[in-house]
Amino acid sequence: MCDQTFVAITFGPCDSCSENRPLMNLYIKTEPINYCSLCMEIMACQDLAGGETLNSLKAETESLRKRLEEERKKLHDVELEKVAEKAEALSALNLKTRRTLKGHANKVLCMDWCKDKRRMVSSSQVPAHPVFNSSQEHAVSMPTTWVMACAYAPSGCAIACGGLDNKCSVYPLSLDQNENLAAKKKSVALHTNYLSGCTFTNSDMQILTCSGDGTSALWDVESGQLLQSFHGHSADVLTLDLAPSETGNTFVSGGSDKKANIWDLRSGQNIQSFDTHESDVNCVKYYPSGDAFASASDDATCRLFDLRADREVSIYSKDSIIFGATSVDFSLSGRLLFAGYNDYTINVWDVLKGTRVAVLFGHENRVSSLKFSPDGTAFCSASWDNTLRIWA
Amino acid sequence: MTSNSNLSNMRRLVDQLKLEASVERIKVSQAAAELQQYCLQNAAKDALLVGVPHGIQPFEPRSCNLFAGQQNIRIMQRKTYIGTQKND
Repeated sequence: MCDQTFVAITFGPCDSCSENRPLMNLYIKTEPINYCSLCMEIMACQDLAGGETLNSLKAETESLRKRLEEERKKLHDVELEKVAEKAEALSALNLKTRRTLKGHANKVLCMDWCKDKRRMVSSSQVPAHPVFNSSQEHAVSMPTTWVMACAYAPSGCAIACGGLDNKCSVYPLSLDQNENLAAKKKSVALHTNYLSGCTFTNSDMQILTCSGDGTSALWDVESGQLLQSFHGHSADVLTLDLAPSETGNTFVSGGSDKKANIWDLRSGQNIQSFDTHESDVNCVKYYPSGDAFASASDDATCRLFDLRADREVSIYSKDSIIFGATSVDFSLSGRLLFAGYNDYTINVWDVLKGTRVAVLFGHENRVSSLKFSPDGTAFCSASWDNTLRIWA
Repeated sequence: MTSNSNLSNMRRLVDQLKLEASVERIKVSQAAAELQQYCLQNAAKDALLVGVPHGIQPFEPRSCNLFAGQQNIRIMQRKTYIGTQKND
């Protein structure tokens, strides 16, 4: 028995729609076919029963939608705030900026913590973006502006980032500060529009990305192969978050179509969908237990959606807040929700009672990204004022 | 060609809605109770709720120390987890 090697095309013109897209290679009766993932799904639906006209299908969708609404209403017996009335009120928070990191020369667009709780990577509008450590910085040059997404590998040995270049590239980190990191870059993901978010799954070997082309995709880092793609958003996908590891293989994504969708990583299915926001969903984050998620939107609200009740259970808004929220994160216990807004502030909400607990001032421009450290003792906010602030 | 793809798109939509309609749902009261329970169970571990004792603030910038050299070294050692020149 000998090994066979053969060429698999991972990006190029699709055999059926002739557009340049990431391809999935399959064999139909030993004939190799390269379809893009959307055509694959359409092909899977084509062999279904005939005798269905467009009108009959439209009528069916309407009735299914109505049924969904009713099912959800039936279970809405009480508000979260009522259930939480008996919970103790929170004492005043004493949060201050402990550190201001000023290494960037331009707007900071995204940041991520390393699992060792000390290092962070952040990306900005201009090519070079520093990797911060309390005592050192590495700067990595990228041949593109607007690096909109960055992520630290779970092992801490690599970072992934991407943006307007439509790609997600992985850079292995080394201890040698003088080494040129850009030389070791590996292009992993390729979309047909800007990359808006990326994250490693539980290992260094797979990356989940979401893009302005309306899809999210799971890639193998070593080969650059597209493992699974997720179609369902009708506009740019702006954000994604992986479920906390105990609960399983799902992730949530939010997009410009005002929807937040839950996906199964293995099958590529869209399991649940939530569309109560009135504008683009800028950021989604899972609740620490994995049973709910929060979203931040341009409609100036943050909302909490429960996955098992399949509906929105709480909305965090105030008449005085009119600017869109760009990012959210939960504190370790899930009691506090921190949200960064375009009015340069960070609002802290009591998740259970739905009230605002504090407002944090300090940034001099929009807050673009906000993340808690892995041990929950501090959080970092990145802003268009070129700085990152660590609050504790 | 277009009518075919419209048809398959609609079919996809119908399949998707059928899937979503068949999801198992629980009452909001139960879901809310479980969210609250999680919060309260983990409240003790949450540094922002409980507060961090003043000396252990992990990101406090190292304060300037006017004392003699030996005491400086001791303080550095206590705060080594912040990050020192050593790489790991």
